[in-house]
Amino acid sequence: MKRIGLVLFTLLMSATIVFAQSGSVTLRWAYWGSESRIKRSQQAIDLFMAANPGIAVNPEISGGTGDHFNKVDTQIAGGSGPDIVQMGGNISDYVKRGVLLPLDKYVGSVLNTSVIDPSAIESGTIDGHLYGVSTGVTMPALVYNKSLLQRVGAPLPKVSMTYPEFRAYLVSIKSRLPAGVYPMQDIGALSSNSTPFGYWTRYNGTPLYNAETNMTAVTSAAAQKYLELFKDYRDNGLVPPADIASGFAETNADTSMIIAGKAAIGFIWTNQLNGYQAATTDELGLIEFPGAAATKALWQAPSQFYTVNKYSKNPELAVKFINFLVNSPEAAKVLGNDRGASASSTARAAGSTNVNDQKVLEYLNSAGPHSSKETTHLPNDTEFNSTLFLIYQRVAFGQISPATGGQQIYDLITRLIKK
Amino acid sequence: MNRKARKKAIRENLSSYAFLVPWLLGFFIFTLYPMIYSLYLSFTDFNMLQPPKWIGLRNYFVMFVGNDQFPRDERFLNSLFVTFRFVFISVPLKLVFALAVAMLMNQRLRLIPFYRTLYYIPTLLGGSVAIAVLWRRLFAGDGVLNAILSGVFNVNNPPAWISNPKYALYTLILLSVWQFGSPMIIFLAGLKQIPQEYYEAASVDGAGKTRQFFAITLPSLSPIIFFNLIMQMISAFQSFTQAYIVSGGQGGPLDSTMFYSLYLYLKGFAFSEMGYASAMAWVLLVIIAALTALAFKGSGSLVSYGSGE
Repeated sequence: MKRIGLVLFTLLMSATIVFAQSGSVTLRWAYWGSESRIKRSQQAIDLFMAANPGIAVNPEISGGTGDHFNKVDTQIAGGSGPDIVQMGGNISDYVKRGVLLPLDKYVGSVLNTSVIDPSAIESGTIDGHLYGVSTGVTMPALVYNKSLLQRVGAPLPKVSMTYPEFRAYLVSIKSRLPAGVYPMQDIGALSSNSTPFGYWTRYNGTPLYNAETNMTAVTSAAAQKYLELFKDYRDNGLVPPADIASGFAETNADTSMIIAGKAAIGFIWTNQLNGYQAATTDELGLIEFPGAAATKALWQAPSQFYTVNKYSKNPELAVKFINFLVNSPEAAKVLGNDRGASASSTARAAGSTNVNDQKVLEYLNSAGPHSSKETTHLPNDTEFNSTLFLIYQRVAFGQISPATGGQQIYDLITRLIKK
Repeated sequence: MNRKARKKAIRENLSSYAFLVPWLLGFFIFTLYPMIYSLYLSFTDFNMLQPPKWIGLRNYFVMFVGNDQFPRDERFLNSLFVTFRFVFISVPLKLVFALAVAMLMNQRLRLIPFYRTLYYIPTLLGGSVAIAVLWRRLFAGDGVLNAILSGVFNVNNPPAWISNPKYALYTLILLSVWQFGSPMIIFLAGLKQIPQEYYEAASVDGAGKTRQFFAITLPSLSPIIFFNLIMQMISAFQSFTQAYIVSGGQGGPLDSTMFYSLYLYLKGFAFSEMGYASAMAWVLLVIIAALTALAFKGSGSLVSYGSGE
């Protein structure tokens, strides 16, 4: 009798375990971001889990893109990749390596693409297949510290300026700023410097990369001009000397020169405004890169993509979660513009009352007409960033001339295209 | 040996092997196999997401020779240079410092155990992220050091130590020297081993403190100095954390803190060239092994393993 009782008990226990497991699935969602994004994302996860009992979502968060991709690469190589992976401009590198799941068969059933802007769908479509769902659009912008400028009695910048106007403006505020505070951060010396450089090559009419011809329009002379532009700013104290500038990695708000109060103007992506604003009590504002109005050199970019790991065990649920994040009004309200201004009409209809989100929308409205189609990212984007950073620093520290630097940048680009 | 005894011996052997199995499994699966695999990878082009492609010696060729099609990797040579400089400056400094503190700690004073603990703490903290961040703040352009320099000593425009390529490596050397705790403890144990009679005899013969140090302390400690030298050298070659955190993972400014292991990490994980990174790991192994062998060879006349007690 005793033995039968024991057997029954064991059976009961194992049944509970089996049923408990079959009833609950855990999705792993890997993304990078700062404090404010983590909070917003967790709220969205809570809403999803409340609406979908039996599905748990575990976020796996990194501080920046570097750490994120190192971790994800290693996990995927080891066969334990996350289900949902946040991707950036390097999505095509991952499609090429065949680790992302084509989402075409979920379109219409699990994923509602009919409410998403066609351009956003197009940006996530590579070789005819939909691999990534855009988290929203974002634009490069210059951010300025409004409170700082007001405190020192300096005029506020106009939203649209030409390069000569911009330089004159920097000169005009320089004398008013206290010692040790510079008119602008050296935005070429950032670890994500391929964006300011990319903007400038578009402004100059020599875009970085053409995917169809697999060629670059950048010449060593064009790259040299870019290095000379900032050398002029540096020599005139409009941006800090190299050793000061390289003390701020500017990978996020925590390492930002703007947030540290040492520069009046810097570079961010519009979707970063929230995170930056959360890190300071000063009020921040957005202006366009110089010369955008005449050249339409700015661009709207998918801020990030939600992608699904090809080896995910629950691809359908992963897509369901993505659909929730992108299209549902509930999620839109808590996520705001943190991953870009939503490309989904149902999400946009939900609106956001956040003041920073309003500022970003205002900027997108004014800068939108000053933009054109995004340049495809150079292959091996991470290595481009890292090495461009090094070459730029060589020039900034006076180790090599802008002419030599221009040649090195050109050699780098051609090497990465061939690699 | 009769049958019974032999059976017994076999059984005993078997049972000892059975006890060894967990360790053997660990050794084969987690040490030997990965090592052999990484040796294989070092001859391939491997981006972690697609199967490795065999390219023979090209990874090694790019490191040291290079041609037009596969230019030599200047950043590799630079990282090697940076690492050598770091090792050859920081290790001797750290040993001298550790020995000096150990001799202070070897006195009969009240509260000595407390001081020993206190001086060991940097070693426990040194590898941590918090200290690396603290270091950034200490040596930044507007950091604590410069506040003192300009405020107290009236130095005009002191450099931003940590973001200036001329000085950045030295701030890391300082950080490494500051973590003198573990060689200090080993030196302390060595100092306690030296028989007190030697010193008594020497002072009877009229030898002063300095003479005693060079004639008794140093020779008696020589095996321990040598041991510390080897251990510290090996770990210095592999330093990673400080440079990674202090330079924000970039080895900057201007690659001046691009340690070998940091570059290996960047190559493998950020640039997705795992084959090249594996080749770098093997080159590092050969360098460390060669230097250790060299040290052993050179140590013959300098290290005395005397009879002691």
